[in-house]
Amino acid sequence: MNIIYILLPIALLLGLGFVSAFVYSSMTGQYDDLETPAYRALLDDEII
Amino acid sequence: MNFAKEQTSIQSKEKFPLSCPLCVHCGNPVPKFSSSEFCCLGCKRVYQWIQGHQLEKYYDLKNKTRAFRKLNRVGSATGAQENFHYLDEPQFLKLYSWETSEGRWMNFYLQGVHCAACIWLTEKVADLVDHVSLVRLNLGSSVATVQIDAQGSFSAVASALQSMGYPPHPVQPGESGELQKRENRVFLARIGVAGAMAGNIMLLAVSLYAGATGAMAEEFRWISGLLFLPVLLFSATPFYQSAWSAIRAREISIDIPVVFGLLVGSVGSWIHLLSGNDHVYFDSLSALIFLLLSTRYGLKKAQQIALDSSKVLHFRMPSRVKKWNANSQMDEQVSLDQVQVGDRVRVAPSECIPVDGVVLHGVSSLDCSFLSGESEAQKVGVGDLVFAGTLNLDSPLDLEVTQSGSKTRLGRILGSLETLVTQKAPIALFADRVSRYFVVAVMIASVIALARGAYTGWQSGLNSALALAIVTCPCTFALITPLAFTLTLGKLARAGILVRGAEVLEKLTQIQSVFLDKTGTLTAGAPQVKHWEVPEELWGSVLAIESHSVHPIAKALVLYLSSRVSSVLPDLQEIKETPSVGIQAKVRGSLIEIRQAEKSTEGTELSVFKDQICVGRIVLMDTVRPESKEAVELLQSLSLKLSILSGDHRVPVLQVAQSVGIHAENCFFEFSPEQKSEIIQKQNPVLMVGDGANDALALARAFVGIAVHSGVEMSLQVADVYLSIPGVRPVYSLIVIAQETLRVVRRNLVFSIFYNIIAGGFALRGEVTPLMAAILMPMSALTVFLSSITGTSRMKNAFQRIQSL
Repeated sequence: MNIIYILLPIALLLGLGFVSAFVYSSMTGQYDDLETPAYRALLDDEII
Repeated sequence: MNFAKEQTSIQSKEKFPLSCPLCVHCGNPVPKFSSSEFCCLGCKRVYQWIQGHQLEKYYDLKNKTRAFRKLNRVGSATGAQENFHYLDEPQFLKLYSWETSEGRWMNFYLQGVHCAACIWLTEKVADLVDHVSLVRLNLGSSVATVQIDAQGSFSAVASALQSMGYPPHPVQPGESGELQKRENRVFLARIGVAGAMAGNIMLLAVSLYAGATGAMAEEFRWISGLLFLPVLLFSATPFYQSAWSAIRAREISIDIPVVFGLLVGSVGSWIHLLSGNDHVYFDSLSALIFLLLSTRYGLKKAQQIALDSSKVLHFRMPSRVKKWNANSQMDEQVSLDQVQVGDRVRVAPSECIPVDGVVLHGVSSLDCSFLSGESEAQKVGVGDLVFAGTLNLDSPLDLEVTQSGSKTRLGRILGSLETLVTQKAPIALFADRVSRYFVVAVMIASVIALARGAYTGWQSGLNSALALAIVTCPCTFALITPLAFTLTLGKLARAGILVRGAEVLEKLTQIQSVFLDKTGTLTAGAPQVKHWEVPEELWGSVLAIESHSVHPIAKALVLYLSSRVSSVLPDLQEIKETPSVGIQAKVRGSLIEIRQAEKSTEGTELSVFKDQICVGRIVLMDTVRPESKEAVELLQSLSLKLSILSGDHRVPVLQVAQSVGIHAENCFFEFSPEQKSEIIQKQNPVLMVGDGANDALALARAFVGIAVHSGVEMSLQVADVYLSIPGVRPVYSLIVIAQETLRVVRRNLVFSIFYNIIAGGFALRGEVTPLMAAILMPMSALTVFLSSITGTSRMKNAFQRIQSL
């Protein structure tokens, strides 16, 4: 069961990464508008 | 349902025959008598503009996504090209725009944006107009943020948006808005942190419950303890703040038991952790915080959706006004804020009057339904007083401004509403009332348990105090009691009834009398043809003539005729509309006149003349909704006292009262908005059902205010309930549902109280270990949860009733 001593810190680090990603994205306002981006995905960029 | 058929007949005024062609631009039906591909001139112009700029992709996208949220008429681009120069004035820029290192920004509320194609088109402005760097549209709030560089001008952006058919209204960047945005972001981060930590702690707790022992269990507990710290110190801070402010105000709020449980739980867990004891409760505590925060977030979001009333005033009013400039002897466009008392302004037909004023020149009729609720147009001439918010129907009017802005009659009504709305702010919630006793009881009991530790050893004293704090965790009150309300509110919302909050449901069960508005509530709200006596060969001519007018009577006639006339409409010459008299035109050489006769008790009477000879007679009336009588009877069966409250005249009010079965002595007529709110205040607790801004004050003053279908946006701001189903039928079911919801909540509360007393009693005697408490608590919560979901049979019937409407 010694493997736990490696796996657990890795899991916690990964978790920490995701939590900080979430906090960052929410503090920069990426969840302010949940409606428009869904439609915006339908709009292709024009080929110039 | 026997009234299902009648329902369709009411709605059929919205529908045109299926076979009729749809407008190329907006998708609305093209009127039968028109030979064009467009429903109106506005759409045609917008279509040409879009084609002219090679933006046809708009139509591809529109057809592809079909994301019409509602079949909204695209803008009101029929008006003359508007002048937006006022947007570039330094004074205006100071108020409405802000500057960053990247450029200058302004927010516009865009009327009529509703789908992916609208996003694409509005954001294309950045490519089409020079010096515009960015346009970003938020579809949910219909607000576009525009960024320009130093050479750019907002007036160019606004004109482009206007030509696209999205009339722009500059929105002042409110500081409160930014603050709210930031608050929401932080709140979301708190939920995220609490959720992640709760999840990880629970993973570790599983192995602990499964029987991990020794050094590993010790380490797991330590890791849980550390993971719990962000929850305690970051996520749970809103609870500390609200509990602390409640304590300072010497009030007891639901957050106090939450904080109490949280603090006792975490302090106890840390003591256990440090002393090597294996009872830690980080898992239940972090899950509690996560669940509580999520519920709060949902509630908060729902509340923020409502706009504040000042914004509504803004949208009702044109943001610019044609002002007479005495120096240049010309009309000039100025923003509404710049109009002062004594100025001369001109209001074109079918425009909203922006100020209170006296008519200097011109004769017209006004649609005052927004302010007074009168269904028939009012004639005005030189020297008459006109009020902001009314609609000019026939011909241009020159006004001398007597009041503007917030000093107008409408502005004052709105102002008093704002204070009312804040006064009404959440009464102590139902759960709060119970928790008041609950908190005190738990606190005393815990202190007793701790004090007993003096005899039995402090470890066992702490144990039973902790077991008590956990087993009687305020979960059942903090989460499960609102659940019954939330479920009901959600179901009602899906059925088309929006209720502002849980306390409204509670208040609905306490009302004793009901006041109903007449126009638009008991009646259809618009004149309808009641009597028709016109030779058939003239029908086409009448339809052709009336479709040139925007008057409500003309609309009613067009509506009546458009399904009856199938032949091609004749050409018209010399069309002339005389305000308050009628409309005339030459059809195939003969003069056809449709004149308004003197008002009779029966409603509005029209006469049709052909070459000066009277050949037909039409009577129009605002008719009682067919289902009103049944609805009134149902409400009376709940032993409520019913009254009619109307701004209209005596005879029509009494007629309506008689036909729905309300006693004449309970009728109040010719009441001004101010009088209405006075009588409501005297008779509280009252349920007021009304529509339109004329009822807004009464709706806000009433114990419970219900705004019905056609009510303007403002009613929604002040009413507690909004019905999207026309008429008063759903009111009965709504009251029944409210009563039953309260019954479920009471049932849950009784159970919770019994559970808490029994479990708390055992915990106090030291017979409940903290582990047993941690299992018992979710079990009790589950029981209450199931009870909330099941509801009662009377409630189910009422919901079915609403859905069948």
